[in-house]
This record gives sequence, structure tokens and C-alpha cells, in this order.
Amino acid sequence: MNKTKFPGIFEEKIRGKTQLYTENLVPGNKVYGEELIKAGKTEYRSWDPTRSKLAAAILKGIKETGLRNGSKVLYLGAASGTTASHVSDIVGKEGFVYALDFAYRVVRDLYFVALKRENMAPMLFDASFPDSYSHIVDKVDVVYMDIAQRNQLEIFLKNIRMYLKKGGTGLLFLKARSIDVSKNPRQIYAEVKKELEKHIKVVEWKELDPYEKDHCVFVVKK
Amino acid sequence: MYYFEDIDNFYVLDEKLNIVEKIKASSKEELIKKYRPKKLEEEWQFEKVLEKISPKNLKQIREFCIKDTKKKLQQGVTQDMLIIQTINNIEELDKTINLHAKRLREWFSYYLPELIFEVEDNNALVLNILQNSKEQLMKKFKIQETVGSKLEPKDIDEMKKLAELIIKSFELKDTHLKYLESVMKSACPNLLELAGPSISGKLIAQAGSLKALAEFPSSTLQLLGAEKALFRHLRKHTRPPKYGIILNHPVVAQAKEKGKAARALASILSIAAKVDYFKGEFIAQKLKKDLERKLK
Repeated sequence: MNKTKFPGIFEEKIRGKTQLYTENLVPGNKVYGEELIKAGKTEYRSWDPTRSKLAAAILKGIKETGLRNGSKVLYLGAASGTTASHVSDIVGKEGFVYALDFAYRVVRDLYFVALKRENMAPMLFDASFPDSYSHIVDKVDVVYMDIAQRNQLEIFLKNIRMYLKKGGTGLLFLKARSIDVSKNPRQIYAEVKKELEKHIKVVEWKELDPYEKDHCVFVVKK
Repeated sequence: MYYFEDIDNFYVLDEKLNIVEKIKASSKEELIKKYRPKKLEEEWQFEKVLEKISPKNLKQIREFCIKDTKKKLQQGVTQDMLIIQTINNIEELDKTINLHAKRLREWFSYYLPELIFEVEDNNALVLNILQNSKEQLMKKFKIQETVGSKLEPKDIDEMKKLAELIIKSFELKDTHLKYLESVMKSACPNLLELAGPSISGKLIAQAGSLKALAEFPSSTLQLLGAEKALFRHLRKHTRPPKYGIILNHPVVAQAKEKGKAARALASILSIAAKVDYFKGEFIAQKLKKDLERKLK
């Protein structure tokens, strides 16, 4: 098991391919049927890039995520908690993940994931109205957004303006088909990048093929 | 004067967003009366205030979130969610009934294959197998002689157990439809009256919720169920679909100009869904008249 350039993220080369892992915050506990392996005294959880866009982004070579031990993260679109659990592993006991989603069915799953993780708070809210959770969320180091909606960019900017610390990182996972199902994804990415640059510094962006079709990630800094 | 709330405190802020007074959230009425503060409006205002109040007690916040989320989940099951589970089970029962009936036909045809050709309807077939002996069946369906084999009673009994399962599935479908009618009488009475339990249920299921169905324009409702054709049209510019689930409605199914009927019905059902969701009155009779007028 080797360290990667990202704090809290590890890798092993298996038959020429890179397999990513995070250190299990709750040893012995599986969240979604992932593999648990022991290396020395530590237990690691295997991280599937076809199920987790953050893992895909890392394998595609993004330079930074803003996540480290102790980071406070606002995770918009946490769904059933598969990727959020890995973020929880990465930020560790000193960090915190506000895991937010709007749909009953997935938040119910997220609730059980968060019960086992003392650095995660489950939230059933609509990310389009960030003032509706201003009594809960504190200023954060990272705003992570994975919400497939037509106005996902607007939601991202609102939340960044309210909750992201100065110097903090924003990770926007964009689904091209949610914005316009018939346009060329690359054209959509270019338009989104142009709009983002009016409001915030765009550090980099990467397409997530082959792990996710017609998706890309934008890394921004406040 | 502005105010800001967090999970245990209520703050009053001046124009420059400095904290003027702070009190326990349970006693906030006092400060509201005293200052009559306004809610913060701009995102940058929230940002500035959060900077002053940071950092928050994360352990407390997590406990609050767990309680709050638990409460919302417990209150989060709506009637349309129950409708969707029921209608989805009806569709699954259709599939399993067909699967089991195919198997029963294959199996029973070792005994009396002529019956299998005679009876096309699965429900009738199963009832006949369960309620009649071989001799009675041969008499009833005028089968002179059979190329089927003589089998032991225990062999026939085993097949009949499968037949019983199929009957139970048919009965469950019927019960589901009755249940749907009773739930829809309160959840969506107008849709129920205009389209019946099965079609209304499928529309709600395809939309995802009654709220979504109510918020769709009628053109979307018209095409619910035809998503494959719709996206093919949008991406590859083939001809657009004219109807989805609503093709099964008698008004569309029996019309000469199906596209026109689908459009008219969709606009009426769209209004019905909106009235149902926003809990208006029962206006189905008026809507039926509107539909007749549209189709003249």
C-alpha cells in the first residue's frame, strides 16, 4: 500500500492498474459492499472510480482536491453516502462532512452511514436554498457538489458565496446532459467554465471518461 | 436590524452586521419584540455573520442533524409514494404471472396438452386446472382423446400448487387495484376519476411523485412513458413521439386522430394533477366536459 500525493488517499498497483483506497474511519465496517484490506495495522477501504466521481477525478489526474486531515466539507448531493464515506475517511476524526441531499430514499441510507461516523452529519435539505441551513452549516474548507440539475452552476455559486472560506476549494461535478441533453458536452463545459470564471478562479477541469460518460469536474478556489 | 439563528442561539445584528444582542433560541420572542429585526437577504451577509460566529460545536450540530433528519424521514412518506410502490408491484406481478403461466403450460401439457391450446387466457386456464378433473376438462372443452400421458396424482398435485400461486398473484393484483382506488380517492381524486387507478398510478410513478406530475407542462405528461423515443428525437432528430402511457386511455386508444386526442387528454390530466396536488376541489366532471368540447 502506497501513499499518493493526496493526503488520506492510498493506492496499490494491481496488474498495471491503479486501485485507490482510503483509511477506514470505522474499522470492520463496510458502507456499500466495498473490499476491506489490511496493510500492517491499518484497515483500508477499496474505492471504485465507476461508483465515485471523486475517485474518477483523481485517477484522471487532477492536481488537488483541497481535502486533507481536518478539513470541513459541505457535500451537496451526498445521496446514499458512498463517496461521502470516503471523504469522511480522508478528513479523519478532526474533520467534518455536512452530507446533504434532498430525496427521502437516499437520505434514509445516508442517515445510517452517518450514524456510524462521528465526523458526518446527515442533512435533508434543498441545496437551492442555502439560507435554509444557515443555522447548521459553519464555514467550510471545501464545497463538494454532485447534483444533477439544470441550474447546478447557480446552486454551486450560491453555496460557495455563503459557506466557503477564503482560500477554500470548490469541487463541481458537472453532468452535461442535465444542462442540455442535445448539446455537445465539450461545448457545455466551455460555457460553464466561462461563466465560472466571472465569479471565481478556475484552477483546473477534467473530463471523467471512461469512468463517467459526459461528466467533468471543475476545481475552483475562492 | 437583522437577525440570525443557529441551533441554540438567536442573534440580533446591526446594519454593519455586528452582534448587538444574543439570546437562547427558546427565548427569541423577547428580542424579536424589542428590535423587530429583518431576515438576512444577501449571500455575502450570511458569509460575514458566519465568520463572526464560527467555529460551531460540531458534536452538537451532528446530534441536531441526526434528530432533525430522523424527524423529516419519519414525516417523509407521502401517499403518492405508497401509490408508486403498489403500481410497480402490479407491473411486476404481470411479469411473474406470465412467467409462471408459461411454466405451468409447459408442465401441464405433459398431462393434457389439448387444454393448453384451447385456453389462451392465463386466468381462465389456471381456474380450469384447479377446479376440474381431467375427465371434466375433456368434456367441457370437447376433447375426444388426448396425446397426454397418464400421471400420478402427486404429479398433478404439484402442478396445481403452481396454479394456486398464479391465482394468488391474480388476486393480489385485484386487491392492489382496489387499494389504489381507495388511496387515490384522497390523494388524487380528479386523476382517479378521469384516468382510473392504473393509468393515473403509472403516470405518477413515471413522473416520480404527484408533485412532479403537477409541475410538468401537459406536453411532458403527454409523453410520459415514451422517454426512449423522446430522447432519440432530441438527440438524433427522428420524428417525435405523440403519446406514452396515455395511449392506453380509452379516449386516445379509440380515437381516429390519436395525436390530437393525446394532446387534449394530457392538458386535462395536467390540470387534474395540479388541482389534486394543491388540494383543490373535485372538478373532474367539469374537466370531462372540457375534454369532450376539445375533441369535437
